[in-house]
Amino acid sequence: MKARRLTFAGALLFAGLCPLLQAQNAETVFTSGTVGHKNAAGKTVSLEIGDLVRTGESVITKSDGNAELQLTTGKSSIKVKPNSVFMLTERSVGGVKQTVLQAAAGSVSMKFEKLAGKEPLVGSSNCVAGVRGTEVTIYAGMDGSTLMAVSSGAVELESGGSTVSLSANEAVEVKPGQAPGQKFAWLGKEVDYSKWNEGKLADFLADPAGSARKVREQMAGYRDSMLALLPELEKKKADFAAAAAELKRLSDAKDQRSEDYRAGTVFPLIQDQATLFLNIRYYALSVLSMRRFVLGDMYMQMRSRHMLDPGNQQYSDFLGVYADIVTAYEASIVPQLVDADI
Amino acid sequence: MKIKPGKLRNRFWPSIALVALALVLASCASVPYMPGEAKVQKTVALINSGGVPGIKGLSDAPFIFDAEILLLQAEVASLWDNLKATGFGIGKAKIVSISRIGDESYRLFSPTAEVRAFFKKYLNRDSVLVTLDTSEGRYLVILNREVKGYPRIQGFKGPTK
Repeated sequence: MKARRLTFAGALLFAGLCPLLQAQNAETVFTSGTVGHKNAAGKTVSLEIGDLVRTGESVITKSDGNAELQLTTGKSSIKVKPNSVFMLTERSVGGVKQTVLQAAAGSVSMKFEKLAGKEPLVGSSNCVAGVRGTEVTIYAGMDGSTLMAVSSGAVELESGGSTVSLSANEAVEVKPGQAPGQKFAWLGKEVDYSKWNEGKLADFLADPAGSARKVREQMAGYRDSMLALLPELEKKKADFAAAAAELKRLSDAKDQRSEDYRAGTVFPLIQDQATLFLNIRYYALSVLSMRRFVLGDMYMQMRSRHMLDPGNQQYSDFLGVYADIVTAYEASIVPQLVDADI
Repeated sequence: MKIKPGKLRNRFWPSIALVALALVLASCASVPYMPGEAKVQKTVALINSGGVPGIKGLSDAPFIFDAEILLLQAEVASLWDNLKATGFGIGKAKIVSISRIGDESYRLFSPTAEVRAFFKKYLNRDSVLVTLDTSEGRYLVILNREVKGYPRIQGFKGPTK
């Protein structure tokens, strides 16, 4: 009996989720060099022209790799530069699902022209921005900071609870866990990513523990947002189970109120669960992105430079913060991830 | 026309030999990789000389360094460059074991879900775990099929006391 009830509830949930799961995809229009496609199964395969990159998937380029993608709706161009990671994610704000195009590492240029419907959000692991008819390049630094440079159109960037508006030929840098810095004139000349990132590495090496603390703050922000949603999701799950049971009782009794009950009570609960699930995943994947491409890089830099002097004070201080971040990550984020995410 | 048995053997012998050779080659390819001690020592010597970054494809992403998964090629290159710059070397290493990767091998690197996922997803039947003892402590190195005469390096941890 329990199994039958679960099956009925499961079928309802699936039917309700299907329209919500329809997501924005990106089609590969060009590749050169070595470009990997981390697919939904978590396997990294070679990205080929014509391949679709779906929500939750990412593109990883090697030092000789370049890729260009187009969103399947509207006119757009997403150029993933060498040694970069581009992720296609989604979140829901006010019940409206939004595609988020993220430069998790390296640099990604994006151009959008008159998209049908809502325009996507763009960002990195530490900030997110709304765009309007925009050409923007996002540089993600090894210390978790982001440089967003606008060539045309308008961008509204949010980070650390503050927003900044950027127009053509303007740029802004955002440190992890902090409000955006002062915007500055940017004359459209492409930034030499390697040189810029060398500067980020120098900043990090000057104060490794301090830099790691900023990353911890950013990750904690995502984690707290995620943790706040978990009890809500559990409550909605319980409400849904009860509503599905009631709907089944009405249906079995051929009660005429069953259709109204389905539309007015059951489906909204399904949508609420889908929204919560989407946002929990978004926050969990955002933490994973910072942990992998920022904290992981920081650890590698420190450990490989101090193999021969493990007693170095800066190194010890960094390891203390690092261990703290990893412990919190293992306890709260890993349970929300699956092997395919790693 | 009647063909004598001896002539038949002569006519088909090259084809039979080719099929046999193909079968032998196919069976070789399906045997999981297992480096000998000499190959391991050659790899250690290469690491000690700082020569790993000089051989393209020898150490590529994804790579595991202690419990950190490096997914970017630039990160792996940077790791080897840093080690070379500090004069790092494994030193005189005694090979403790060369073994296949098992279901629980990940615990030797870190008993976390992430490291377990790395071992499951990114290592294959050709990946082997080499345990080395040095005066600084123990190293674990993951090797795979050879590139230009050297086993490919997929990760390492150490030294641990």
